[in-house]
Amino acid sequence: MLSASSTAVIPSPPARLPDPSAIVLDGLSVRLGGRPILHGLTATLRGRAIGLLGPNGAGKSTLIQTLLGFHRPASGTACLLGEDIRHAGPDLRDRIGYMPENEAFIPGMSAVRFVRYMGELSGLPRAVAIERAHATLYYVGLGEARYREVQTFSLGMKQTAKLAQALVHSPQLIFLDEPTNGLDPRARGRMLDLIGEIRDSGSAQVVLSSHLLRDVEQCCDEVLILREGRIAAVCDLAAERRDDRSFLDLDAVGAVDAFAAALGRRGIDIDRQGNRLKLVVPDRFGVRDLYALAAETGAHIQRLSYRHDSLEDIFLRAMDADLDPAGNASDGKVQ
Amino acid sequence: MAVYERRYEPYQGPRRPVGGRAWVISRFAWDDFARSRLFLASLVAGAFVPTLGLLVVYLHHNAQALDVLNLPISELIRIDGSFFYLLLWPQHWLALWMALVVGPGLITRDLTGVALPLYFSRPLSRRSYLFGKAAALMALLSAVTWLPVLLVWLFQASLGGRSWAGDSLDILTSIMVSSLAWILLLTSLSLAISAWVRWTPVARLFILGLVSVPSAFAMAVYGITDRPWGLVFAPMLLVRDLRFSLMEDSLSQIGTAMRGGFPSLSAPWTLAALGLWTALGFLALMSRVKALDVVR
Amino acid sequence: MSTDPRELILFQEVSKFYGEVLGINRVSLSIPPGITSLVGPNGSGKSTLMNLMTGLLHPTVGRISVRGTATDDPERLHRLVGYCAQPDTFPPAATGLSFVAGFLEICGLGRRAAQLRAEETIDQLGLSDAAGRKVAAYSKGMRQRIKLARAIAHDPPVLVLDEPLNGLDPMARAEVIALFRRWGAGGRHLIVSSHILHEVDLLSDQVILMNQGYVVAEGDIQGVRGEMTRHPLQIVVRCADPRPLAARLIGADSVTDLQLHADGGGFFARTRDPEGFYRLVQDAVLQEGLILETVMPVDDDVGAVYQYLIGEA
Repeated sequence: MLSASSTAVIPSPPARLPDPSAIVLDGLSVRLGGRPILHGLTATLRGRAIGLLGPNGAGKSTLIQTLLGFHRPASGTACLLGEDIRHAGPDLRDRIGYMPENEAFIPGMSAVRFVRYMGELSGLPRAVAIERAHATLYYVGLGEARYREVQTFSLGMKQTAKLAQALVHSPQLIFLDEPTNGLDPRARGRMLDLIGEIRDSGSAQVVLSSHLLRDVEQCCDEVLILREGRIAAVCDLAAERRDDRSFLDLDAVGAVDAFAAALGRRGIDIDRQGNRLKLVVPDRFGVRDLYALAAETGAHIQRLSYRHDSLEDIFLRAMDADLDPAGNASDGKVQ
Repeated sequence: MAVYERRYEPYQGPRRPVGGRAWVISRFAWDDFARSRLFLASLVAGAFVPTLGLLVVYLHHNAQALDVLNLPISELIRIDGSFFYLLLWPQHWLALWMALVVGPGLITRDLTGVALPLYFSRPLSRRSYLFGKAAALMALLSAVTWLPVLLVWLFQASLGGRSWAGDSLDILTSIMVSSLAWILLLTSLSLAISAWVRWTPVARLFILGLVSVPSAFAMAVYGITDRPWGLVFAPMLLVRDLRFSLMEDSLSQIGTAMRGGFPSLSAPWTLAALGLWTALGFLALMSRVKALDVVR
Repeated sequence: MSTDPRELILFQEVSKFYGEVLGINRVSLSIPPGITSLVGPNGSGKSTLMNLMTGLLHPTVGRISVRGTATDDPERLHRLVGYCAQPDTFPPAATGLSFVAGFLEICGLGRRAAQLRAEETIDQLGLSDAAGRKVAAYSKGMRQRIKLARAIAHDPPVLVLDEPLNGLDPMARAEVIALFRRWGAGGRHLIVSSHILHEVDLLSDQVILMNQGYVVAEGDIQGVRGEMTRHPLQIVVRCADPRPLAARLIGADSVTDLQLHADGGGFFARTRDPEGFYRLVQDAVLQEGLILETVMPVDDDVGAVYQYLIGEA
């Protein structure tokens, strides 16, 4: 009973046709040691950089590991680069890069040898592997340290070497599990810049799992939020950023109390913390009116910016939302 | 004029077929062996006895040279099973030594560095990973065991004529079968221990202990019961026995004397027991080599 | 601000060397109560500084007192300071409860009291359900929280926490930050090291920036930022038709440089007089009908200060 004017959300049928540019989860369930970890995940992810979020134990790493073929799905499946992971030949993994969460290197091997080795294991011919190992280490910024053994590296450098081995063979899909964990601000900034560059190069799709919402916000255009092994939300960050102009953040000095009171009298919702006000501005009320009201009441506006829903808001809402037993947030989207 | 910015460059060239990836592992393992001086020294030492063997064979067939040296070598040393036993025996010990030198590091390093997920996120199965590692070690052990001794046998066969070769096929069998059994056993045990014991010196002790200590047990069983079944637990004695029993007919008195009063099983039983040991080693290995340890 | 040494953590010309390796060099600090964040690259001396406060290390040179107690008085210091170290080391068989209660017994509580107090603290950190389980089976986030529970269990007025948020998921981070706020508001000292600079902004009353063993800045972040006169404040303005406003601003003495955005929808400006700057923007809005979208400083936070003082390269 759907009329043209119906507002009901028509759920799109789960994508069965593999779309090579997307990660397609189709009822994916995984059990580990007899315990169900992932419950029938269904989603189609098309972002160039996909953030994977969720509390500890939500199944983020399990999802990545399943997509890599380390665990067999108990039921359902997933498609990467247009191939079903259950039936894909081993060469699918030539097109995938993986940077695990934990430390991973080979003691006694120099960085360049390590990266070259991994490149050859991913099918690069010998001469190419040497060339690309050097190029990749130069690219990630380990050029000067490349002849040192990886175990002598600092934490940040080890992470970077791990990134290099995930890139050396030029994969089309790269899984990064907590790539900034434990990094100091400089190393973290550099790691995020690198991820951004890879994403923008257009040659690879990136899946980034992180506890730091900022990292995901900075790098990703789509997020998948997991909770208790179910999808709590899938959300297109790029679209979120474009929409939503009704929230304003501002800092004011001077008679902030009077200003806030005046705003309240005009029926504007405000959330105040010290000098910082968060407002939901009605359409009829423009920035100019705000300044005028401030001047009237003796306050001065300093900082002022529109605020889109931060990923934190999206995340927290996803954590509160009900999960339906099929494993997905009621309509797969957070409204 | 041009400016080249540092940027991410995709690669679109050809890739090697998936089937050959295990050899990459072997090759890198070999390169790693070759960095160890102890390894190189051992490899050189491994050439000593076979060279001596070649020399003796050569002298044997060159009467002139013997006259010059005025040595009645052909009477002192006969080129028979006992002679080849004497060549094979030190090489087998050397193989054990080599396994002790290079074996423990083979898998331990990948485990301590938690590198296995990196391997298995690539188109490599556990089997091809292990095959690559095992092939490297087996190639190495072959180079010090049957390969050089086979060379001596062939040399002797070319000089001694068709009849000698025809009569000495059992020697060839003994060289090949006992060496291969020993190599397989050493490979499986040292890889298994490499996967289970992280600390190299301890791993070495373990390998040594596993192959040697049960020998005493076997001898004790034999001493008490007068039955050879204790041998099943003593792989080193099994291989020793195999070397003898496969060329029983070609042993001279010296050979029989060397064999002494040790217990002995028939060759099929010996092979079965060795096969069991090897299989156990590989099983222990497989249980350890996984992309991930699933907690709980 | 109080100058009573019983309310301060004081470092007087403190240096710590490990052989020839420098831990920290000639550090003088006076840390008031509240949340103080320690920020700096790996190896900059943060952990050394923390270990010195907790008495686990002794300075090579100089004197330290924690709320009036010298750090060479281990027993009194122990009662004063709770410490959450970065590495996870737990007795293999310990459950969450026994881990905390055992520590309390060492502190001199009776078995029963220790048990009760431990339960209470664990509850505060939201781990009650897992209290009976082995710590070895905890997730990273739970381990982090049980370490926090142990640090706070004996109710010390000083808490020294080495990267306490590391490994926590977004929910847990928010909860723990709220907890820190509560603890900090009660007049405690919280010394927290962190690499996540936007959280430092959110969390701390003051920051200490360290680099290669030296303190390069300390104080409340706005104050520190104000001191950095070599780097005038950078402000971004987004609006329709920005050129007239830009022209006006560039005429002001306090504006040192201004750069239009490539898309013609705004500009970056650096100013030594933010107040005056904002007033000019306000005038443009009110008198000339400027259609303003955004005006905000972009380098007034810890991240920017870190970048200016410690650098990118």
